[in-house]
Amino acid sequence: MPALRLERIVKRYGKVKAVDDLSLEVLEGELLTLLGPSGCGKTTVLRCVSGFVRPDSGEIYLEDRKVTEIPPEKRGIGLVFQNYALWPHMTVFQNLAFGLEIKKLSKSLIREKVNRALALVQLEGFEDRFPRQLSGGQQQRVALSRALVLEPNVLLLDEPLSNLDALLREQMRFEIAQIHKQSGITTIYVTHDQTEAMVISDRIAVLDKGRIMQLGTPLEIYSKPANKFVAGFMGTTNFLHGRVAKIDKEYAVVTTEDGLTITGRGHDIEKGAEVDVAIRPESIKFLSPAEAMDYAREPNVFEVEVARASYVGELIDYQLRIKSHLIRAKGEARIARGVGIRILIKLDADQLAVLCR
Amino acid sequence: MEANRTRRRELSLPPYLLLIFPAVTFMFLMYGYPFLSSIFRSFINPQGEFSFDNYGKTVDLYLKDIGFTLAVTALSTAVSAALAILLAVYLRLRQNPISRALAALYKIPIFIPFVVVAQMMNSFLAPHGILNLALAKLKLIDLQDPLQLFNFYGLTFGFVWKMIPFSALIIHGGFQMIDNSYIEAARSCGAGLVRVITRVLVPMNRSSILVALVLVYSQIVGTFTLPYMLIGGKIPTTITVDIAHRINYFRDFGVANTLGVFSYLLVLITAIYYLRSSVKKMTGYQASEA
Amino acid sequence: MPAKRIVVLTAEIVLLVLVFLIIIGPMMSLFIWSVAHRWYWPNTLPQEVGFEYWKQALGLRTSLAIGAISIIPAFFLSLSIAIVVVMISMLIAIPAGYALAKYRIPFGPFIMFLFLMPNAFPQQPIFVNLLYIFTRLGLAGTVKGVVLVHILVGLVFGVWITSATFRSIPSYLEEAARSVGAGKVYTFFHITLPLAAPGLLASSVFVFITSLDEFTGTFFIGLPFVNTLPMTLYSSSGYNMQFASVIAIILLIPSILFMTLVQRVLRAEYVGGMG
Repeated sequence: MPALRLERIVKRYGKVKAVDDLSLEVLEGELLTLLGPSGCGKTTVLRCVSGFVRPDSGEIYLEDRKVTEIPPEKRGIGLVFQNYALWPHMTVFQNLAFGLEIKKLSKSLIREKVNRALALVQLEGFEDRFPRQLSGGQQQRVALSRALVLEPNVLLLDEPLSNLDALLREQMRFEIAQIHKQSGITTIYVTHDQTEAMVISDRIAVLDKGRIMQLGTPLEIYSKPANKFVAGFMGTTNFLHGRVAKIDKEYAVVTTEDGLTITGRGHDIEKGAEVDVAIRPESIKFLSPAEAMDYAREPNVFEVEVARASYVGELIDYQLRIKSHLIRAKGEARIARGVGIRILIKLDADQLAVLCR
Repeated sequence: MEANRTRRRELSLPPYLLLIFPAVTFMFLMYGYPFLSSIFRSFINPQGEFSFDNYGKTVDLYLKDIGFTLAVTALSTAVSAALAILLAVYLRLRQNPISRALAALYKIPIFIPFVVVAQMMNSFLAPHGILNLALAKLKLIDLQDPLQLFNFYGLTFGFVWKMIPFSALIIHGGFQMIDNSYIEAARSCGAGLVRVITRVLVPMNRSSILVALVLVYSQIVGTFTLPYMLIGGKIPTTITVDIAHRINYFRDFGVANTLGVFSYLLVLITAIYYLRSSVKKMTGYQASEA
Repeated sequence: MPAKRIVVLTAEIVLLVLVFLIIIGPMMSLFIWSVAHRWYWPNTLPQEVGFEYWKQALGLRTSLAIGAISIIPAFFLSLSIAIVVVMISMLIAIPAGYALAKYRIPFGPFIMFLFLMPNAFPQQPIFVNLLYIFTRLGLAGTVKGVVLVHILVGLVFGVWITSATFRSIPSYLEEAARSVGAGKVYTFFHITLPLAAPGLLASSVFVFITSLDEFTGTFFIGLPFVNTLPMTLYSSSGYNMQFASVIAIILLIPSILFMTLVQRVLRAEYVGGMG
């Protein structure tokens, strides 16, 4: 039985459909991420689940209980906000105890639960501090523990790490993933950061314009994007447009207008269809002069000219001209390939996705 | 050369001195001096000597009125604040055509001068004014024995009528600054409406509520127009009316100023709080611009 | 639960109606009285209505009714006093507001203290002592004296609003002008003042309306010779309901009109200045 079920949720704001007939099942104990650019509807979906937004149509079920009409305070959900929303006039202890007092638990039980929750986020001893005395990361953890202390059925996190600096964000990602594993609570996570989603999620739902573009594990989403949007969203992807010339089992051979022939993985594609070939920078391999001899007649080998090369730390970001296209590639910094140089590249067919237009 | 340069710097005045001079001088002469003199003159008896005579006389004649003033002020302030908080909470939490209409409507009394309010109340609260007529139509009272409101109750009504919008404006402004997430966090922890108001909204808005309380309280203590036109010389009446009578009929500046000092005492605590926190806030601005 | 929503909605509507009645009730009383020719209880509405009292007030008809005089002289007196008060007040308040906003004045807190006191303490004793002083100076009962008192009342707001206005203009805009060669005065008149104009205008309107509506100060300093509009309202209040209502409405309309217009600009400052 799924922990949470959304059935055909529709939410309009004026003429715009923020959520467009969206259905989703979240499995017990999993961490599912709603991923997408701003305006894709992920926050609206989350707020429907939490009960602060009423869907125009559709139903929401929490553990088989229909909660669509039930107000937020009675749904038993835990919420972590982007700005943490720690009440400034209360200590850390009081912030956590708030929900427990509403449940009328005894003082000693409250103290016990609060201590346990703080231990879970490694903030023992911080009970008597006020939010303003805490760093951003500490506030974040208090917000998390405040949601967890109530042992909710579902935990909802709305871009909880957006307000942290990059280093802290990376750290907190792992901590959140760890806490999730320890507590085992069904979690829905909202973010626009693909890397974040990939690191912590059991499954990812990629959203655009209020619809789910693809639902799957991080690996599936990344390596087998179902459409151009998902492929483009999950990292810098090059797209070459062409027609399917031949189908060979799970591979499709695509010819572009300017005469390139590229082979990639495709399914549900017919011969002659107009397609995009999604080429990730990391699927582009630079061939050394020795390799050039061996691979010369293999498929997906092309001669390119370096149009631009920029140092990005330990890598070089390349722009390569291949016939009439410009594609992005990455190379090791220690092998400098200057502008104007012509070299051979090989595209790994298994890493290329042929997507219907 | 060097000596000239340093000398010139010592002679030049800071530019703001000229800009601020007229305003400060005016306030000193027209406010500061009369303020100090009001306190000073309360200790000068009719013979021109320094004594406490005026205080004795004032307590004899006007103790009841001082109590009356305190009672009206305390009640009006408490009622205004309580209702203003409820109104402000309502406006904060609801966003629909009704709340928008209410938001436009409630501000009207703020812009009505006290003189006009006094006249309104004079006709509205009269024994055969609209209020009594309406209540009679609803069969709640008998027109032969209408509600007498030119007293403590009518005065309180008038003050509350004028002060709720003012306080609600300030308090609502404070509520607007509380982000939705704090309210939602409380609701997601299981808090119902009452708890959201008492544990989150009101505590987080303490400063605006206090400011409203202080301003309403000191405004009511100092109001002359409304009690004068509504109650006039009847007993009991407010300190402000007594001061006017003392001047107009007896030319007795001694007792009038003593009554003034009593009104200062009534607001002393709120005045100190207000002045301290305002100056602190203002110096905060200046410091942040440094 | 739809049922719950209906209950809440009904409660909201009831609230709105109640507030409407409470706020509009006294105002209605005024409006009805202003056109009542004969109104005796227990009629909820006057038996006879008309604009007689309006015509009397506006000097269009003379009458022997007690207290019924043309208020045109009082109106013009109030208006001229208000105009003079605004001009002088703003002349004083604008530089002061600028200085308070832009400079770190060493005795700054003390000055703020001075300007905040009228908000914190009752003002009537001040008027009383001003009466004492003005009597000595021969200013009691004169228009000059009343103007001075109105300036006092208006200046407090004036300085607050102007300083808040100037403070809201980011200093980097002025610094940008200075960096391209504009002098301090030039910058003030070409950059600061135009940007501050809406707030300063709002401040002027505020002072103007405050002067028009001013009663207590005028009562103590101006009696018995200076008859502003509020004073005529007060004097006719005891005798002639209709007449008093007419004057009240005449006072009411500019106040509400200007204040609602100005409230949008003043929002934070108004509340800020008073808080």
